[in-house]
Amino acid sequence: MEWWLLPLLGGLLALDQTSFGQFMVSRPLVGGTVVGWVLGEPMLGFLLGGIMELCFLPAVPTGGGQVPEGGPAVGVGVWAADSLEGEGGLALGLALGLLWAWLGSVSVHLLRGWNSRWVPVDGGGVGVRAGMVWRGQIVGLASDFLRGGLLCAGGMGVAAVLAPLLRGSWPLGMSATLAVLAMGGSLAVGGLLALWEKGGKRWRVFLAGCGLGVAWGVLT
Amino acid sequence: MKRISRWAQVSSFLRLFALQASWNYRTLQGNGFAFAVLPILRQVHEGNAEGLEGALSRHIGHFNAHPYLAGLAVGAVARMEADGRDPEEIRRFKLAVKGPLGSLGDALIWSGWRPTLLLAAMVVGLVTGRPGLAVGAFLIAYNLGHLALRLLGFRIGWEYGSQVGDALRRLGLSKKADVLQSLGVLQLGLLVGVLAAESLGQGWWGGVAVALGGMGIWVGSRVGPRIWRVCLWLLVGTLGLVHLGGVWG
Repeated sequence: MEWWLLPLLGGLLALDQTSFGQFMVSRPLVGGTVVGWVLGEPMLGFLLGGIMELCFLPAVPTGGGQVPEGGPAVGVGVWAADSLEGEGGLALGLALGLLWAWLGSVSVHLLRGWNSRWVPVDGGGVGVRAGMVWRGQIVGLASDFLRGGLLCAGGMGVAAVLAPLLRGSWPLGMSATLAVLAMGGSLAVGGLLALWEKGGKRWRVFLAGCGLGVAWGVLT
Repeated sequence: MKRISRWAQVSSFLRLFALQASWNYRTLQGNGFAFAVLPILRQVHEGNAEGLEGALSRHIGHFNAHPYLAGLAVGAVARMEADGRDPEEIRRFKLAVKGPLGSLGDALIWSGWRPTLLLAAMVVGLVTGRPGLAVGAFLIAYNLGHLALRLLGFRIGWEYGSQVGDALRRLGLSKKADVLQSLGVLQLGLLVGVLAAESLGQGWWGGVAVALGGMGIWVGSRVGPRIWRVCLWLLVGTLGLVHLGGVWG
């Protein structure tokens, strides 16, 4: 894959999450699988995206509040995981992906401040021309695309430096690595349950689902 | 009522996809709102540049609602403008409708439709081992609901104008949000169950993973949804430290 394709994809994923459409192509599960597929590792992308997704599901963007930005970040994560390979790759990819999701949320905050400079504000009955509204929209979209692309390219640069340094340094096997990830992911599962809780009723539904899942896993 | 062309309505609807393009801390979605309603305002104030500028200055102000349901407000405001309603009445309508549209959308979409379908996609991907199928099915199912809601909102808004509240209540979206969230809990249980069964088949470390997972779920449920921050930094810190330990060890 040409290196510049990923920042381009990062820009598009940033647009989907923040400025245009919200078709959910930018969700970590989707973005991770797409990037993994482009790199020839769709299951790696799905796994990494799935763990990131689980961590971010309780983060609901109420009233424009800050939430982690998964789109460009999962691109960085899958790229890093593919560069290092194995359990160590998964660990590096996830750590970078999560860190970049946080950086993404900080950059969205900065973007919103930047957008404030370009939008017309109510001047107490003073006329606003259509061109001023258009300018606000175009600057917002272009800035967001650029932001996502730069975020992704920066992450790829960091991954390119770290991957050779960390090669062979991950001391845990796959089972132990997954145990570490289970610890983090399960906290988010609990947070999601709390978000959905309704006087204890939904714990019973959750436990019934767990029973069905275990039965499915054992039978197959 | 001023006659508004079908094309202006379609254009206004399509512009809703860029409602958040210039989201900012001064007017939030205000500029996007004005951008969406602009094609209709152009026809309402045809040949009257001052009237159009005045109308735009009223609509660039502070506005924020769920992006999928904001079309309902845009449609209703467009209709009120076409009907020649008093600007103060339109301002009060926008003020009254934005809060409920935000909280309803958060419950229905961000806390219902989206996590439920994402969890279902995770289960399908894990069980079938076909991530492309799981993600493709998610995108199709999610966006069918998404686009239907956007279209329905805009149409109801345009049809009912300022009476849109009654039409919205008849749709019973709050109940639907409740059902979706229950389905989400079931999906979450299924996912945890499938992962637990998989882990227990991995020997000693699998048992450790299940025990840690159980503890994590309990702690997470006590802390609440804001746990995602702890989750993020805990994983970044743990994975980073283990990696560094491996480098120096």
